[in-house]
Amino acid sequence: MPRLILSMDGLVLKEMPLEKERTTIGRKPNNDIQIDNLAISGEHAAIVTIQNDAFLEDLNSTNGTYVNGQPVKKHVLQNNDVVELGKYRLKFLSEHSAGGSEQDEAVAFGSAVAVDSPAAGAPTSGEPATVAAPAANVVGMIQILSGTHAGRTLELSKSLTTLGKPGTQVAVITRRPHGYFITHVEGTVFPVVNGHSLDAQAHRLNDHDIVEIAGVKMEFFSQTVQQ
Amino acid sequence: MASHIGQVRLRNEDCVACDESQGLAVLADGMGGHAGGAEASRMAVLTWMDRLHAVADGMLVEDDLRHAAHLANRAVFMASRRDPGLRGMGSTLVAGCFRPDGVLLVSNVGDSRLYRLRGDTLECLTRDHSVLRAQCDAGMIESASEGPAALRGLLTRAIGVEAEVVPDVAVFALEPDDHYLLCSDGLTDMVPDADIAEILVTLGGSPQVAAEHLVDLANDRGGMDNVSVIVVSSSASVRLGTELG
Repeated sequence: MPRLILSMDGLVLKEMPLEKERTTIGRKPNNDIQIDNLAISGEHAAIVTIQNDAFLEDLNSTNGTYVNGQPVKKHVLQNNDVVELGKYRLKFLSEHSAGGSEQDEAVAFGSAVAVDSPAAGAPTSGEPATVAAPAANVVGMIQILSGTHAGRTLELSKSLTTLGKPGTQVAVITRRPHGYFITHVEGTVFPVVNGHSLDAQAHRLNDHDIVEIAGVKMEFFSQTVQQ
Repeated sequence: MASHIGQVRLRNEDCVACDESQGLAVLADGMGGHAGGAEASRMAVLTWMDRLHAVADGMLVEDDLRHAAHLANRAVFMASRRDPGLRGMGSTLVAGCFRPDGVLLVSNVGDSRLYRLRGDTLECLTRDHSVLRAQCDAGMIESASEGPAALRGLLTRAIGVEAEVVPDVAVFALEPDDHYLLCSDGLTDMVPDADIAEILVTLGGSPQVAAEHLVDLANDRGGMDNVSVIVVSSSASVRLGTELG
């Protein structure tokens, strides 16, 4: 059974198995996990557990829900994800905590932002050791597969590349030390990656992902550039 | 002005609040002690916001912002005197009041900043109350970013450290396609102005996305400090790099 470990300021407060299909977290006493602190909303967040999969949802809380330092509205919890609500942390441990999966890199990155403040002690290194950062000579590319620009190739050499149709749908691809990420910017339809519609979160692109923006299909790949 | 506001807050010691209906945005970066920093920034933001909400009717003027900063200062100062656990706490404060008649009031204490992007030009509308800034003004160092690291973050003014504080208050004219950024030094220590400008130019019309990208960038550059940003946009246009046919 997946479980949560609640802590504050590095102090473990309790460990809770995710027994129910829906576990609510909030300040009010009717929550499954009650955290009596003003920074926590009455109904702050919920976790829906289906077998060993857990989905975290922020219930429009005032101060937000963060996973590994990033604000989230909805998030599929991965082993070792750290959920932050105010000063409180909930570490998610799935049943099979073997590790070594590709999700580990997200966790490694998260550790860089898990330090509360410089005063909390010597900061742990923010370097995500397991992440293959794109070398300076590796650049992401987009090949457009459909529409009037089919066949065209774009080099993602800038730190930000916006793509789409104004007023319809726009997405941005960002170049970051640990890879390329796509984020929805505007429009009612969200980008689709390999047939799955994204949510508001940034999504990491892998080689040969098929991305669809504003009805246009394209393939992402990385390429080594001769210097 | 129909403003669109995006905000991101990471970690405990910063606090932000926005009120789109009144066009108010305020950000505070706390300092001192265990709970102190977080408490100071929270009190500063809540007190400031409460005061300006109380001026419900009529247009906010410069004195309203001065008074709100004064009350925020008093609240933090009194609390730090009352509670030994909070002694020595303080906070920065930067705030914008985006008035419907096209006037922007800006107020700040400390080294959190308010930037304006107009066209492709990014300009900081506030002046840091920091030792480095003062040395720079006195001609002792070339630029505030070149000063000794030990002096970084040392403030000449802060909310809640003394019984009285004098906030800077200034008035600007809003233009239709302006974007504004309020941020703590966790951003500006890590991300150069040129990169801030690029994100605001590209994504400013989508303030939430822009705010998240700014914080991501600070973290990617190894930012260990609190990072908080508020992006306020008066237009919702995103600048498109590649238009898909």
